[in-house]
Order: sequence, then C-alpha cells, then structure tokens
Amino acid sequence: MESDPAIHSATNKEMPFSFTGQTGEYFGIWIVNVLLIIVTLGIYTAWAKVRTKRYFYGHTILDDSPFDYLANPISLLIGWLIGMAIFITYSITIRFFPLFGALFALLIFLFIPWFVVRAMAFRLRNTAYHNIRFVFNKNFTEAALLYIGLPLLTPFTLGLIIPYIIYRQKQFLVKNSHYGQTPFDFTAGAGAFYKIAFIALGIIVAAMIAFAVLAGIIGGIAAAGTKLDPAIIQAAGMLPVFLIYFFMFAYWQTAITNLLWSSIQLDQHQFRSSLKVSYMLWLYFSNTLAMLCSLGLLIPWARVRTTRYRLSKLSFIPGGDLNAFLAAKQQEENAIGEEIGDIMDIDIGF
Amino acid sequence: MAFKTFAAVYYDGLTSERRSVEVQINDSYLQISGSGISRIESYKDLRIEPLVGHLRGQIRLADGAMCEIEDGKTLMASIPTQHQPQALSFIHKIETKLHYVVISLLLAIIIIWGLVEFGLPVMARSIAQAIPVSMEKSMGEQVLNGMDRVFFTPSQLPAARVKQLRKEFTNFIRNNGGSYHYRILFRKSKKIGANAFALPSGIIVFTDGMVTLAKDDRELLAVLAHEMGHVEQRHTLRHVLQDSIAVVLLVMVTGDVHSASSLVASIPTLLVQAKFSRQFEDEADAYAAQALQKQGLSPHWLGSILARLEKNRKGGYSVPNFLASHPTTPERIQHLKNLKYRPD
Repeated sequence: MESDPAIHSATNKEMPFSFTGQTGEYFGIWIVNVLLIIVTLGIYTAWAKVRTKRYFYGHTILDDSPFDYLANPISLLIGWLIGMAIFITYSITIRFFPLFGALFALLIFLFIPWFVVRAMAFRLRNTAYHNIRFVFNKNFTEAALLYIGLPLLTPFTLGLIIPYIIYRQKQFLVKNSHYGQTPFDFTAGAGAFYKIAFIALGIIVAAMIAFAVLAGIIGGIAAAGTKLDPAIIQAAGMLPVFLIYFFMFAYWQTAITNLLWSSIQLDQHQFRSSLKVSYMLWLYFSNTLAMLCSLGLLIPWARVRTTRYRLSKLSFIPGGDLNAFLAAKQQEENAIGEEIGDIMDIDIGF
Repeated sequence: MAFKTFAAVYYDGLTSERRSVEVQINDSYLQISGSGISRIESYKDLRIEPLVGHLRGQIRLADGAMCEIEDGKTLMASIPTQHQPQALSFIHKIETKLHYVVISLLLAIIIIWGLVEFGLPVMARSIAQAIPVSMEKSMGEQVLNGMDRVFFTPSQLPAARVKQLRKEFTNFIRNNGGSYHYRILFRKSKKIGANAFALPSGIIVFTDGMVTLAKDDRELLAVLAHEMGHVEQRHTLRHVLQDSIAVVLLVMVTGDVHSASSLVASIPTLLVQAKFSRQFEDEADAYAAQALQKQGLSPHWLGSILARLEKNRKGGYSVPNFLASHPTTPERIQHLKNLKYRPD
C-alpha cells in the first residue's frame, strides 16, 4: 500500500511512546468531574470517565499519532447503574447478614470470568489507533478455566501454582486481543513468571531477616534502660511491614509490566518496556505521600507523572509497514462487564 | 461563502493508513480533498467530537472515516454553533478557564464537607429509623458471638456480687424507662481489660476489669447510663450505616480516580469514622448525665470512672483503639465536670 511520503513512518527503528498531557490542564478536567459527579449523585461518572480516558488516550502518542477512546457515555451509564445496584446490595448484606454476604461473594466469584471477558471486549473495542479499533475474542470457556478452575487448585498446590495461573491469565488476555484483524501474540513462558515470583519471595524473606536483626538490636537498647512509649514501639514495628509491602508492590508491578510488554508481538512488530524498580518505588512513595498530604488534590499530578514515566519507558519496535493494518468487522459491545469490573476492582488491564 | 481551511490527517477506518488532506469548512457543508480523496459532507452526516483539553479535533464521518486536525479549538470555533456538541462545549469551557476551575474546586470542597458534616448523619438517622428492631436483634447476637469467640471468657466475679449488681442495674433501667429490653452480661477479658460495650438491641457487656475498677457502684451505674445512651440512640446501627454510605459515596467519586490507591482512599473514611465516634460519645455522655440526674445521681460519677480508666490505660497495657473508641477522654471529663448537678 502506498502512503504519503510526508508522514511516512520510519520502519525498523525503535519508536518510543510518549505522553503529552499536562497536570494543570488535567486538574481542570478532574475537579470538574469530581464536582459534577457529586452534584449528579454519580450519574456524571459515565461522562467523566469518557472525558478522562479521551484525555489520557489522546495524549498517548506513538509515531506522532494519538490513541483514541470511543466509548459512548450512555452505555457506560447503564453499566454503572447495574454495578452500583450490585455494589450497594453487597455492602449492605455483608454487614447485616454476613452469611448471605458470603453467598453473594461466591456468586460474584462465579461471574468473574464473564466480567473479565466482557470488560476486556468493551475496553478494546473502544480503543483505537489510526482509526482502527482493537478487538477481544470472547472466549468464555477458557476464561472460566483460568479464573475459576485453576484458582481452585491453589490450596492443593500450596500456592505453587499461582505464578502459573498469572502466566496463563496474561497469556489469555494478550492472545485473544487483536488490532483490527491482526492478532497479538504472547512469547513469554511460565518460567519467567516463576522467576519474578521467587525473587519477590526472596525479597520478603531477606527483608524479614534484616528487620528481625534490627528489632533485636533496638530491643536490646530498650531493655538496657531507656524508657520508650509502647505505642511508639508498636508503630515502629508496623513501619517495616509497610516498607516491605511498598517495595514488594513496586518490584512486582515493574517486573510484570516489563515482562508483559516485552513479550507481546503484533505481527512482525514488538514492544519493549524498561521501567526501573527504583524509580517506580519513588513514584509510588511520593505519590502516596503527596495525595495524603493534599487530601487527594494532587491525584491529577500523580496520575500524569506516573503515566508520563510509564509511557516514556515503553517503545514499539516496528517490523514492517504501520499503514497496512486492516480493520475488523464488529458488533456493538455494552459496558456492563467493564463497570462492574471497575467497581469490584477486578484488574483486567495488561 | 467563506471557507476555512485546515490541514488534516485522514483515516478511512478500513486500514491504518494515514493520508494528508485538506478540510474546508463553511456554514452548510464540509469538503475533504487531497491524497486521492474528494468528499463533500453535510453536517447531519458527521459528528464533531467534543473538545477535551487541548486534544486534537476529530470529525467522524458516517462511513467510519475520520479526520484529525491539530488545533481542535480553532476547528470547533469554525463549526456553525448549531452543529457543535452544546452541553459538552460548556463543560470544556469550565474545565479550561482558571476562574471556573477555582470555583469548581471551592464548590467541591464545600459540598464534600457539608455532606460529611450534615448529610451522612441525617441520612443514617433516617434510614436507622426505618430499620426494624428485630433486624437489630440478629445484628446484636452476631456481634456478641463474635466477641465471645475472640475476646471474652466467662466472668470470674463472685456470684453474689453479680447478683447485687444486676439488682441495682435492673432498678436503674426500670426507673429510667427506655424503648429497649436490656440484657446485662458480665465477661472476663485479658485482652481488653476494663471496658463496657453497648451492642445493638440492648445487649450491654461489662468486663470484670470494669467492675473491679469502680470504687463506688454509682460509677458503674454511670457507665450503664452511658452505654444505654448508645443503645437508645442506635449508635452501632447508625455507625454501620454512615460507614456504608461513606464508602458508597467514596466509590462513586473515586470510580473516576482509579489510580488513587486504596490506602489513600481509606484515609478520609477513617477520619470520618473517628469524627463520628467522638460525636456518638458526646451524645451518650449527654444521655447519661440526664439519666443520672433523673434518678438523683451526679453526672460526676461518670467523670470519675473515666478519669481512672484513662489513668489505668496510660500506666499499663494498651487497649486496642478500634474497640475503645473513647478518643477524647480528658475533654469528656472536663465536660462532665462543667455540668451543673441539680438533684430533683
């Protein structure tokens, strides 16, 4: 296919993603969203989500072209209403009738594969690049196996199966995704996931030993006669737990993100993500602190800088012509799965 | 007819190919030309995407093709007003003008504050009134079962002492008159120490530590009166309701702010909870003071046992905060001291 030489993309050269959004501009969108959501008792959530996603997708630039979020607020609104009804019913029943709440949780658990597939399908269908939409293959049977069947084996395998489950789930999400008619492929094996899990476990063990030694020293000093308030000792004891958690979280997120992107193939094209654990740790730490101290007002700042860093470390390695992708024929997708997934906090991004 | 011309990128929606075109706009139609494309479209067959920030402008055509124009704002300004997305253009104006953003910020702060300060308590109270006492009963039983498993062992107090206290308590309850059928229970707890709890549906638990801490039975009557205040005003139920509503509101607002970690999201809830429990303690203290005065007892008895409770805590073991929920004891003691005692 012949394309305009003036905007022809260079091939075979690594192309970085970039984020061109600005904190100040996003703050305006965010605060108006918050205000209108409260004033409309949540109804505006659908429009707020579309505006937010359009802003973030539209400022995600690859090869001088932005991504696009195309969802219709009305279908998001219907999904939101159903999601809210389920959420309110759940949070009331769990408080007054814990037994019924457990039943409810079981029901939700059984529906997870459905939520995941529907949410992915909705999300991808409403994401476009060069005016070509992404597509997710709705494979409910495999989803049921990966999100219910395999997790049920966890206790019998002493949890050793968990990295394998994560591997299969990520592989499932990637392999069923398409850009137009072109399918994505996933090249990582289960071994890479086990490696990350064992390093994470190693971090916990090493950190616990280090803190135990430290605690012994501090305990010795305390016993030697200094009087410390028990509350301070208790707080000091909690701090290492938070630190380990933070470090673990940063390592896990970084390693998994890098592994995922670097294992995704689209035809002859590849991706590469090279996030640094130390910088991600700093981002998580400073974001949390800033959001706490500003009572949430710095949330837009945190979002923008995190997205900017993540995208600056992500690149696309073209293996051919970028103008030759074909669009797929599709039908409309409704938003119910996606909204419920959002409210129930089911992680479906990859 | 005057044309406005824009350089644009054209995508046909069938392939990912991008083509440079020129878009010409006038009052009644729009013309796309260049890179082998020549189309004339009337406004009713196309959609102008609403502006968000300084995003590129997009014109979507009926057959799925799309034109992208670098300067979205100028593009929008060139489109005849009746073909612009009106409501969202207005929202875009608010989002991008500094003074509107500041006003939105102030409004949001005022509304959230008002909701927490006045809205939630009123909502919780009116919902609590609609909930039947029978439902409260099953809630009370469940909480008691849970606490029996985790914290309590049977009371070690001498049977005679228990019998005597029951008699005094029953008298006090009968003379006070209330809408609940009270059940007084005694339990021992190493973990909790001296404390008393009001559970929904009128279950009041005294720990052995609380009974032995009292130097005068009138102090225990004062504690009883305080716990009855919690029961009569349905504090546990209201607390649970306020909590639930706060969480629902939080999810509504933060559903958009997905990146906010759950840690950050939990902080406002905790602050709100702490504030509520203080409010409830004050209400229960006020109820106790009135109930005591009605039976010719001084509210100071509540103050004196609170003071001893506080002293004990500082000296020794720490009470888990989530159960103690008596945050401002010195203030409360001072408040009780200030109450005028009027024997009838």
